Amino acid sequence: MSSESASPELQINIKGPNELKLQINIASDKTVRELKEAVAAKSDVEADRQRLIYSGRVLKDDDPLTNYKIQSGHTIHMVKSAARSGASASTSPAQSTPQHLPSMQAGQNPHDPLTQLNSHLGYGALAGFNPFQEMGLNPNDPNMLQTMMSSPQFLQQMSATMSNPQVLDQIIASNPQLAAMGPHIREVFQSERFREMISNPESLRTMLQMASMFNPGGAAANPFGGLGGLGGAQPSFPAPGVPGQPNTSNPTNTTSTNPTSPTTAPGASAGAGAAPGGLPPFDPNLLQNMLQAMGGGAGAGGAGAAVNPFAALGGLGALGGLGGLGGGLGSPPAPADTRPPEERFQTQLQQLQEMGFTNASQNIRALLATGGNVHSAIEYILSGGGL
Amino acid sequence: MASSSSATGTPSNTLLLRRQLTELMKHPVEGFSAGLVDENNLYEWEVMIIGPPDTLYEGGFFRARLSFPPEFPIQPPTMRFITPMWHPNIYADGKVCISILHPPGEDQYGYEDSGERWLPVHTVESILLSVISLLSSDKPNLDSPANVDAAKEVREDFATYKKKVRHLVRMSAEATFD
Repeated sequence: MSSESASPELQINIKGPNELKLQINIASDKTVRELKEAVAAKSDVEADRQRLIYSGRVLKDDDPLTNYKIQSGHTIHMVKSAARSGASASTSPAQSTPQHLPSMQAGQNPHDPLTQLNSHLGYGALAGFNPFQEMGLNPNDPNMLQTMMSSPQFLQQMSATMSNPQVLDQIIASNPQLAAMGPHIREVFQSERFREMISNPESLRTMLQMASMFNPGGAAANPFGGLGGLGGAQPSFPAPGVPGQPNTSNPTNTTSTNPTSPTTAPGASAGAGAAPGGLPPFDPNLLQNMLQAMGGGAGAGGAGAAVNPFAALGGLGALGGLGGLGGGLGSPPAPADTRPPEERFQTQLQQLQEMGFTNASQNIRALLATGGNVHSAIEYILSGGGL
Repeated sequence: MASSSSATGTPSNTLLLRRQLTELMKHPVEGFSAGLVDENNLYEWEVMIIGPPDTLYEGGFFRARLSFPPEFPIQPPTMRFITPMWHPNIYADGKVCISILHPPGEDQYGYEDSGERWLPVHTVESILLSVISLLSSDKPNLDSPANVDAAKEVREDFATYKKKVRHLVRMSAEATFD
């Protein structure tokens, strides 16, 4: 279809070694060789040394680009290789930044279920692993959490943590506020919905965006301030962690946000991640610590939080958020959000659009019916709801 | 939630795969490239891993297939290298044996915690990053090896093992570009 009349111009992104990024505009009837020459003109990598890889395939010089069905806006990997007949590749310089993966640490007390957080299960990563340092990210960057949420390691850890009943028991037992809620809170923790919330990047992201909307500059800076808000957000979508929400303990998460971050931040550069235990057992601030450790704030995990009086507040605020979740199940619904659904669900609507659900009014009805959960909305739409 | 496991081939998992595909096409991840074998089948993916720098695998290009079952994402995909490999955690036929690709529930190896096995939150990206880290580690993990001979060689004659791997890496680069 592209061969008739003038061939359309493609805008192709090239992702090369050493963070090299190029944008090439080229007609779709050109060959791979011509694309390589265009890349060579914009970089210092001669065409002969370029290896272009797209969609799991190596692009061959003589083929026209149409063979590979490259679409505008798509990205092609470019690898610099030794000259074609060249010597062993190991003599060439590093072609890209290596993938750093979290190092694991052994727990201290094998009888404590929370020690698993430091064991081979991978949570040990939380103590020593600071992804943001490597990526050069500022923990106070509002986008930091989004970045974190898109990390598969983080998601895996979250999901695994929440699916381990022992860990849940410990979290509950170690916190009077949670324990006081009785079996209720267990159900909440173990509910499909909570699990989904905590392991679903979309819903976390969405809720984070909302949290930062309501607490500008605060919640986004502190991972847990955000999550605390989220806890409140899930059951009664329209009132995401707004200070003054019926749940009394909720506002604490906003007060704690800013003071905690700077105090714990130095831990990161000190590389204190190796601090024994990483996450102290029976620490009510467990989640707070986890997230701060992730956030690059406290490599030292518990140590950082323990000396910081505000961290305790943060932990309570966070749990208050969970309390909101628990409370939401039985208590009267929070006051309705007066904004139109198009505005409230803007992010989710966009996601549904991107996934190919183009019926806007059906999307809105689905989101209304599912409280803004994109995944449930998809199920709803696919089963014919909202038409 | 329950509906996705009942009917096979519900469109919701192709949506999930389509979404991951689009994302990887627009914003590919360092270290690998992925696409479909046949553009009409979202369950068969073609993958190329770019040998991680500063490892034995530097300079190599490793082709593999990812096959998703109809029950995805409840059940994991399988990954099979097409490029010949010599590694304790990769079967002689190329099938990759890593814990996150082991189905949930059953523990056929007796030592894995459920959190290490497949979880529906895994994506093509998280799988590939795991495989890249498998290739990147200095000494392969020798617990319950998929390729016993390779494991034995790692233990008893590491120099020969490395030589063999380097040879395959060079072959992979030649096979890719000639």
